[in-house]
Amino acid sequence: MISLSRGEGFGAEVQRRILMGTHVLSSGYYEDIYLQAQKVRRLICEAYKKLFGLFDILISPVSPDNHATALKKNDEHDPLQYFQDFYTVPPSLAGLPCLSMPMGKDEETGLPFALQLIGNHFQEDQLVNTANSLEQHFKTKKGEQ
Amino acid sequence: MASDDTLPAGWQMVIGLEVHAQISSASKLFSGAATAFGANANEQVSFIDGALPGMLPCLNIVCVEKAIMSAHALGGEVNRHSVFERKNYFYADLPQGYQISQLQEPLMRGGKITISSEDVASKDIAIERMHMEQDAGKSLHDMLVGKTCVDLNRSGVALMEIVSQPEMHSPDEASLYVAKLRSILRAIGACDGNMQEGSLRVDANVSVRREDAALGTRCEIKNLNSLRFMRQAIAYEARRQLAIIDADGEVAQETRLFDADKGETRSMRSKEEAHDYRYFPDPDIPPLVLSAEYIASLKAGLPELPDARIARFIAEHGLSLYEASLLAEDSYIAIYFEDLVGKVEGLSAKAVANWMAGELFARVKEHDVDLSKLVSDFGLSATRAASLLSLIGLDKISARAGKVILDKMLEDSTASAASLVEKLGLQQLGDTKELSPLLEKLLAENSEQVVAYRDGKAAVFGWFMGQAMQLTKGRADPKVLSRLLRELLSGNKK
Repeated sequence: MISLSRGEGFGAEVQRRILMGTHVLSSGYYEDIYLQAQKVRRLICEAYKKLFGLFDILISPVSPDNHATALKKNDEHDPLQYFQDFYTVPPSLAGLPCLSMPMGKDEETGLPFALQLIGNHFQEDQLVNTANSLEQHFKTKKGEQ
Repeated sequence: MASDDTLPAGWQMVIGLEVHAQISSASKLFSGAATAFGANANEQVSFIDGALPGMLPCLNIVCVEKAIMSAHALGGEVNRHSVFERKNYFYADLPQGYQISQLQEPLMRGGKITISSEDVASKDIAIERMHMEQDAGKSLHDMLVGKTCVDLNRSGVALMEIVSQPEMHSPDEASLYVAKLRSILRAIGACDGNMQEGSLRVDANVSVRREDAALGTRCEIKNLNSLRFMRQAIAYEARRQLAIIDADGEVAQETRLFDADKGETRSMRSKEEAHDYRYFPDPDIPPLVLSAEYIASLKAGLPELPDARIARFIAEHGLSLYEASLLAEDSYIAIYFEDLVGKVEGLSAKAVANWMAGELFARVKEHDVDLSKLVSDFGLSATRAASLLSLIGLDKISARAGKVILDKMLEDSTASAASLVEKLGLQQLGDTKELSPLLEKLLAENSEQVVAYRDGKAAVFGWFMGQAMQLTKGRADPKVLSRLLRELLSGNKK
């Protein structure tokens, strides 16, 4: 019952990630992979802590290649697909509040372009206020372009 | 001890117990759903217990408090930093696909339980650890043919798992351990210890060995839910293993279940290879960090524990170890006893204890209830019982009359002891002015017996007592009667 329902409900990539998670927690792999990853995560958190000692908000693009890979024919095993998360995964690992805001369209491709704003822990209000100000400054609010 | 319970000379049973005790709290360990026993199936299941996507656990601090108090009561060391981990496995009654438990950093380490009885000399059984975890739901295989029904009411209820060292060597020792553990947890209100309802369950690890040899291979017998079954299961399992060894075989390490109807243990049906539970700290739950002050404050708030109360009953009330154990182990009974002692006139605490152990407990058994039901449903509060006992203590009625009155008091929960005495005419005759004429008449009518007594036939005294009792319809105060009779018989003329 369990394998049938999970096979039915989850797509290939989700199943892949669940199996990966199970694998790294397994006896014999936990210390080398999962525990090490948790230590690297701690380093990422500390790097952000230093940055937020200097800055209030960090910005980056959301898509690293402006959707070029995402628009390719859907090939599940293209490793570049994992690269799509390049800017969004690190702050997520650190548990930081993030916000993605549309900034207009790419002149060449006509595709929408988005900016990621990253705030410090529990500073969601500052994050939203900053995005609000940017939106007003660049007049990028939907319907106002 | 039954011969079934012991092994041949030179052989020793080695028993370790893992006790799962449900924590008495209004809601579950990580969800707000109710924990009350006996609800209809799946009526006490929150979204968290049903593991609906996105639901996050929220720790119930009451459960933590009771677990810490239990740790103190068991003499264990509370870890200031403990971690909740996921124990991953698939089963239909485990909607999360994992049980939140504690492995590497449990709430408590160490501790001990002292057991003693008339047959077993006082002994300490060491505890290895105690941790908190979620209970699973229930799978019911017998409700529908060919199907298993799942009830998630129990899913997520807080459990304490208390693991002993393998220091017990007989079914009796195991039974004493569980009984003492149960009474300690009940005394502090951490667990109601009701094995029939599943509040307390035992897994027994049993192996056998020649005395002083290395430990043998052990088998685990799971989910024993009564002391009687636990004793039977342990005894059977030890003999089963010995039979294998005697036949030059090797005991296989396995998990077994106890079949109560057959009185045997059997291997669990679908046993997969040793599970890799892939324990890892639950990312949704931060580590439990407790301050030393908080831990200490809970220790200060502990009520009197059973062992301390037993010792106090012996010292303060002059009870024997047996009497004290009988009355002090359960808080409700202990409080009732001391309440009685405070209210009864004319009887020593020991006499009150005897009355409880004899008359009162007999009535409890007869009506197939427990003491609290006798109080609530039959109105036998300590105050009401004390009024009866005071009548005995002040020689207003005999002990024998007291038995009759007690039964009447149970039949009619509003009738007072005094009114029943009046109504039934059971007042004790202790007035010498009333008794003397009766006795003199008795002696006068039986002059031959009087002569026989004075000639040295002491047994005649008993006959006279019997006759006098009959004359007074059993109401004479035996002490007064005996004294008067002796005086009259030995020739104290009026």
